[in-house]
Amino acid sequence: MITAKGLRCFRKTLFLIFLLPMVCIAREFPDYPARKPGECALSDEKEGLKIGIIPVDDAKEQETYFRTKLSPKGLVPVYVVMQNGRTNGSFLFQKAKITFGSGGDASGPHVRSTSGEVMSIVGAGGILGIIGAVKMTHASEVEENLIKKEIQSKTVPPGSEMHGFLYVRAPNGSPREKIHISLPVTDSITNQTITFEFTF
Amino acid sequence: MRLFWCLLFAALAFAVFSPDIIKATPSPEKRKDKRSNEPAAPIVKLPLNAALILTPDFCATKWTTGNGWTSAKDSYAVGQAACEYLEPTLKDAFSTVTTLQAPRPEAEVAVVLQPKIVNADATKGGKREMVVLLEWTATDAAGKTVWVQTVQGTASHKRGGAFSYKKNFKLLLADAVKDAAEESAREISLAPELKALAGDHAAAEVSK
Repeated sequence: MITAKGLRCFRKTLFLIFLLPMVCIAREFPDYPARKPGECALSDEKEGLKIGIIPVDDAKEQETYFRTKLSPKGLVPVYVVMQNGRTNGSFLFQKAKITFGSGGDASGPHVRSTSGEVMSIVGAGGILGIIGAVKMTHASEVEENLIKKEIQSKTVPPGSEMHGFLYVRAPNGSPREKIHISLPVTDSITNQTITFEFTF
Repeated sequence: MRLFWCLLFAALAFAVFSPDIIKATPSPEKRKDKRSNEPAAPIVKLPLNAALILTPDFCATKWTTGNGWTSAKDSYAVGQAACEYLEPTLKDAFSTVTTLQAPRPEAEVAVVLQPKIVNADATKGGKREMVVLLEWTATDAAGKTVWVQTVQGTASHKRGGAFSYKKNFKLLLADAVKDAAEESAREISLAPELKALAGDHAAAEVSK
């Protein structure tokens, strides 16, 4: 026998079941504030190209912009901005050519840290598997946001800039082991490779 | 009471047999630039003969997400869709486009374009959004890399019910790849490096 009170309770439950996913979907991913190379923690300039980088180690900041904490799982999101200040001649940035290491040794795309763990650049599509978050709520939205914010191979024409994140897999420790990264870019005028090196 | 059960039944029926398309890829005239949100620039033909390299491996590329155990497994036949849409779309950006399965030094072209699928993923909610990333490398006749660019194609569709899920999934993939192809053509026609190559090529033709 269904009572009127029971029916009201059932309706409220049904309403909440439909409302809850809508509240969760409404969560958005804010953009990381764009910075000029000079405003970054580390920056350098060569042949008219300025590069700035900011390692986003703070878990609270990661939660804000990625809706997940990457540092506890041994991942460091690194904001990279490139600005071509020349009036002619582009720079070609190819992500596959990035090399990095730890403690001042940039020797390849995958190197071992002093503790023996593999360090590498992780594509945004593989991050959730690493952090074991495949079952978390809206994992696919988190993953898509990581992909959209990831820096990709691009040509930087005169007077323009590009920015995005690199996701670096590094040993999880406190304090974190130093990471040494080499970002090679090709000068379209001379066809020579210019390498920018940063340690953080 | 009867009305309540009727409404509940109607809601369930709608969830299963829901209509297919909510949002299709916008038509070219309504398309907007993804960075500035301004109306997108039209695609302008470059006076160059181009070779498009679509290797059998590229056309067979499938991007898989999830493991089917702790997460839903999806497999996206991105390569197949890209090989269907890239050539017809890039014909708007060059004088001629010749599709080859491998680079051929004897092919008389001014620019060789090689695509690579960098990523493909779709959200799992009721309204699915898909992202496809294509990385382009353009080399001149001498084999020098003159341009590198990664373009993003996006599309969104309703997930659909038990009977429309597969059909909607195919539409989602096709629209995301079509969008990536159109973005590619637009980026190519705007690239100062390729415009300069077209100018050099024209000057060389005149001096012959």
